[in-house]
Amino acid sequence: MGIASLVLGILALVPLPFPIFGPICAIVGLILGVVGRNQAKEQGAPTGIATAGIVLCIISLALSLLVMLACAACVVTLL
Amino acid sequence: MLPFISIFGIDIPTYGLMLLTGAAVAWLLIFLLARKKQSDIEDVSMAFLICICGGLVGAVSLRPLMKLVEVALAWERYKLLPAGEVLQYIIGEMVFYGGLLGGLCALIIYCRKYKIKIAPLIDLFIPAIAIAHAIGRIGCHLAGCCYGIVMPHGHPLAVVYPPNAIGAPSGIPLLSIPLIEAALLLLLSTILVVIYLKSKYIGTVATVYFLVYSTLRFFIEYFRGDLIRGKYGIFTTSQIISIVMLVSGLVYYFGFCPRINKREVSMAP
Repeated sequence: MGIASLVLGILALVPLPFPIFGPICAIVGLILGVVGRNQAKEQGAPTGIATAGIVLCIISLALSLLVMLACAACVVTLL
Repeated sequence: MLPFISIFGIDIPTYGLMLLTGAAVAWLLIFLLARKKQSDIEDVSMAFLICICGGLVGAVSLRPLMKLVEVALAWERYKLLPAGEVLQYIIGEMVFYGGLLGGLCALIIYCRKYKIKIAPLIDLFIPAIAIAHAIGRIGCHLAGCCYGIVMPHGHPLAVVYPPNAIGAPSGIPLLSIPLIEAALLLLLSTILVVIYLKSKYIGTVATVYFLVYSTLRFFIEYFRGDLIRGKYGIFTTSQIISIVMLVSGLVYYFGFCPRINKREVSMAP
């Protein structure tokens, strides 16, 4: 799950055709990262990858949210 | 008033910037309060992140869900319109109550899964939610997406939005409802922090927030000028949710809190 979180965090930063995909990837990645980190902690395994995934998803969520809101604001002002 | 701010030549939406600032300030407040009460910072931070995810999903889902219900109930009228127009009507902007409900649901699911006591966590998060909401409302003012009723020219509480505002009509003095609500939320957050630090009864902070904010929001709705957000009968969507929130707060305080606090006292060494 930690690796999935990392991958989704990177995907969320990719400029995709629809701005909504970025936040969706980041949110799913964040949830997987938290669950993965908790699982690793319970099993006594290293939590590094999951933590990295969480941090990347937080950054990509923040950036993709700004992009999505910028696009939405542009559409509304153009209408 | 300032929908975009230019940083290194890139136009950044101020509403998004305020949302992120609110989230950061909220986390900082949670960190300080959790440290004061010697809670596990890592567990609290993970729960906070889950809350944020649930909050974002809830914030963008509530209005479309309610509009879907409205379209379904009045399908005979809506089926005559072009599909694109109906879809555009359904997809809406972010709503605070949706975020609150979404965050709460996410927190409940998370706490049940990892067997974490939810009531003390809710009390810890609530002052932070209030302060994040206050900062978010400043973002609403900057973007011009939420606005109040028309006011007389030169009124001290009125603001005139420029043509580049996201939703507010320009050139007309409108009540500065987002800023008024931001000030009230900041005051509420301060009171909630004091209650959190002083009160030993679990559930007090959450109850005070539910009762006070729902009442505030109910009356603030009468001064909102952007009624395109939805009205059912004599009440707006937010007023209906405020009534539900008020009743829920009372049920929580009188129904659940005595049991929770009795269990904590019996488990204490």
